[in-house]
Amino acid sequence: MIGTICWLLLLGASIGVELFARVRTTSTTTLARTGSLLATRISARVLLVLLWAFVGLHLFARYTLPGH
Amino acid sequence: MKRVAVLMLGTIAYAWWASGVAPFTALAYVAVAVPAVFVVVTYASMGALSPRRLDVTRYYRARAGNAALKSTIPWLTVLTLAVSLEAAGLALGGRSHTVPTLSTTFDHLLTYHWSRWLVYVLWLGAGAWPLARLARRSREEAP
Repeated sequence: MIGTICWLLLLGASIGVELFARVRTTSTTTLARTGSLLATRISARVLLVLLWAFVGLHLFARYTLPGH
Repeated sequence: MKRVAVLMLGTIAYAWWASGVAPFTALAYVAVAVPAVFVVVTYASMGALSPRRLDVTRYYRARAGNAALKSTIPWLTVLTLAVSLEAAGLALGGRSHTVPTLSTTFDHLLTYHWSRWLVYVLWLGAGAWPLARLARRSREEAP
């Protein structure tokens, strides 16, 4: 339960950072700009694609029902 | 525009079918592999995975704007906290009710077909997003 609340707080923090970045464009960057900054390196582009594929495999092909 | 609409409808329909396939079956692996291979091959064909394509690097640098390491500290903080929480969840066995991992938290969203379909659409959308951006850039730069 505590962990789930922590995940929700992190989700809220992410939304907060994104909103703050859109208002104060000089001090904080949006998630899209952060992603673009990461993508300036080819190693990061490869890692992001691999991470995306792993998420799909983990969530949809290797998914287990809760409690099983 | 019509082609984009057809592609989006096709993606949504594919996600509905694929999200109904039973996990841990060969078909479930194939259903994930098909879009994954498509994204990797298309992304590579656009030059995004080639170290020689400096124009792609320049494009991302332009899109990053004034972003620098200092201005990404809030995101790095959120990421560090998420990794720490995930590590704590894994250390507790991965299926702890007190500190669940991110995927265990997501499991509850994946119980129903409609919510599983929604997450599948989001996953496909996340994979298609950089392809769409690069395709748009190519169209804008075309004479």
